[in-house]
Amino acid sequence: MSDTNSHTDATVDSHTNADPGTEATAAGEPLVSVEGLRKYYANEQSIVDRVLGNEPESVKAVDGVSFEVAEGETLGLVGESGCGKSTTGETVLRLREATEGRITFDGENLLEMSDGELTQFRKRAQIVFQDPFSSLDPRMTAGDIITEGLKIHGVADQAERRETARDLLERVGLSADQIDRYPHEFSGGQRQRIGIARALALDPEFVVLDEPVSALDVSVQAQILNLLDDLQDEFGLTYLFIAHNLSVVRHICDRVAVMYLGKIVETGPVDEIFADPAHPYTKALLASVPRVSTEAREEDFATLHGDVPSPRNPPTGCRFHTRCPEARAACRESAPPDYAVNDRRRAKCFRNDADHAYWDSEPIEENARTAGD
Amino acid sequence: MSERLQAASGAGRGPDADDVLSVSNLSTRFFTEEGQINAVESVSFDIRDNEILGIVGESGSGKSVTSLSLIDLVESPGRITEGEVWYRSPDLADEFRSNDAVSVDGDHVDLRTVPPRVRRSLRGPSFSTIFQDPMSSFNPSITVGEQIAEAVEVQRRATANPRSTRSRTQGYGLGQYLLDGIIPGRGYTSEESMDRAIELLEQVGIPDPADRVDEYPGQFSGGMLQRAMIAQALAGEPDVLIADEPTTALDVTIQAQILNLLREVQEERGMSIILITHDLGVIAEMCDRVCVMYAGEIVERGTLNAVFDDPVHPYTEGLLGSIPDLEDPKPRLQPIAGNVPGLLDSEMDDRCYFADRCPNAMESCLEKPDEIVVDAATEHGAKCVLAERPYDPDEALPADYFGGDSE
Repeated sequence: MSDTNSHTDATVDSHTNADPGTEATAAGEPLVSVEGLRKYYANEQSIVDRVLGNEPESVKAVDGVSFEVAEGETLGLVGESGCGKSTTGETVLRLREATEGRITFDGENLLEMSDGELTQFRKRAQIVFQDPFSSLDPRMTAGDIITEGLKIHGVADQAERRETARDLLERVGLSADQIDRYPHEFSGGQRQRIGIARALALDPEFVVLDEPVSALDVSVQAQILNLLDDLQDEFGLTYLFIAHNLSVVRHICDRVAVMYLGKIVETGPVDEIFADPAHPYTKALLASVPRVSTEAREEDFATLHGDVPSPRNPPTGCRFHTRCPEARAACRESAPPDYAVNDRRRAKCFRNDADHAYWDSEPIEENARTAGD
Repeated sequence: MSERLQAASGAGRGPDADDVLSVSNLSTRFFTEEGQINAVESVSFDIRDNEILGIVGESGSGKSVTSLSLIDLVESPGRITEGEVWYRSPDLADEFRSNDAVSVDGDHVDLRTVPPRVRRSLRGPSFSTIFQDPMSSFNPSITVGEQIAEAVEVQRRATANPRSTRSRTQGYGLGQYLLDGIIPGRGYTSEESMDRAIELLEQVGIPDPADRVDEYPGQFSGGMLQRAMIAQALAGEPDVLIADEPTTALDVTIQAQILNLLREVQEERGMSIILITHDLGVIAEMCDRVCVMYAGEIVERGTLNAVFDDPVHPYTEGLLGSIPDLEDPKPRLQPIAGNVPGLLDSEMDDRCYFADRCPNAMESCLEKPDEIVVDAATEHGAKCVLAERPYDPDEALPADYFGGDSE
């Protein structure tokens, strides 16, 4: 666990509009820093559109996201499907090209790297995918899968690579004898272990974990979470952990960034955010999780009504105002900037500004009711 | 009460009067090229009036096949090989009382013995199912309204006709099809059933239902489509609603909406729900009683509090220990070692199926345990020797007894 809880940022006053990417950590320079990242998927522009001069309609999957990951910490990126969390993870590794923004990895600008530099970067940053069934090549053995990266980067000779693969298999809780088996001979949890071994083969510093346990059964999920925890200590890894399961995020992350419709609405240390969320969306997400305890019975969930709006045409103003139980007229008119809740936390909600016009504007009535009414 | 528990664990007694459905010794096998797979193995449970019964288990534990077996939807190469499904229906009981081939016990009829056409006629008006994936459960080329209206029509025709002719009128045979091709405007659904579909969509909380009935499933979001599926399931006014992972494909905020909706319709209509899920949180929020399944068997059952607060079976304990707690995060999870077994008959030894992953496996676990009553008052029972006596380290199986495979 890193001590990111203790970092300070004296320059932040109570309602700064400054770019949140300037947040500094006690651990010094962050390993990964993302500023104003945008990723739009544009629709194909047809000839008719071009003649008529129509702008192509684009999906704003990630729309101005800024965050930092300090060395050795685990940052959770949490949100519902379609909020852009996976796109963010993939863009940060430059598996997708960003539309706009700045990504710095260990002081170097990732988006301006030459091919050679990018190859070096690929050795230092890896990814584990969600679905262990489709992310392993069925025609390669476990050993081939794990050593593929070593081969591409020309690390070690064949015998050494095989030895590395055997070590890694043992390390992730499989048997070294299973090196010549094919993916279909393994169960889901075991395949995910192979995926993790593959990510570790090049001894990276930074690993993006894209929903690494959501395809697994609970008992196996717990095994993998424990394994990821151990590996982080052993290899000194920095994780960007993408998930939709809040209990898992709470368990494994040091800090968390909550995403809604392509924007990060709240960031901060996981304990503080879960104990006292500053954004109504975070509050609603937490309230929606069914608790595994017999005490909370018979109470209705405090639910949000409606669905997540389409990122093709996001609501004006605060993107959450169409579902927010606290929404007022002011939320429709302008998008809230990032407010500092305290020196560790930020939230995009007017409620964190005691002097804002929000407090004098009319509540949006229909949002106060719960779903199903 | 202990009598009831014994009945539930398969002592061959008939169903109780307040059981809507009582299942005993149900076994379903799949006969595949690789061999026989014991998906459901001697499962017994009952569903009472006005309750939500939870069935929880990991993938491959047989929970979905159990629900399909209840309504006879198991397809080849699967077959229900054994067991009784007692359904409470005075009408059916009277109809078949004189028929020697059909088992009748009071108001209950064993659905495994009635003719297939009768079983079929019960789907919809008596049992409905909500499936996991709303996107693939609807026909993408027919409007949502039409599909719900169909279910309404089935119910309407079922109540209008005597049972003997019901299955025939339900069917949409070749003759009908040809006739509809020649004479335009002869759909299966009518104006009234379409109106009822709009009403149902409104009840499940879909805004502007009158406009949305004419939309296709692709135009609905996942949560909305799941609501539509619930509307379709309610169309038949069933006694028993089987919800098979109804919220697994949905986001948490939408999941909360759907769970609230299910709870509301259950209370309003006083029907019984069988809720099948792998999510212990959903079970804890929704259910009155719970059955824990592992490798095709019910390994522990009882009221929610009994099973969740005082689990006896090490598997239940392991499941509960595997879940990260939102309020009180533990530094380390306590997972169950190893993987879910494959259920291939040739690989299943005649022992407690959990013994190879169990931290408390003893020599007596090499014999198949019967269900043992833990506490009759809470109907708490477990298929584990630990229900009778505490763990004895002297009898423990050596760690490598099942080979080193279990990681």
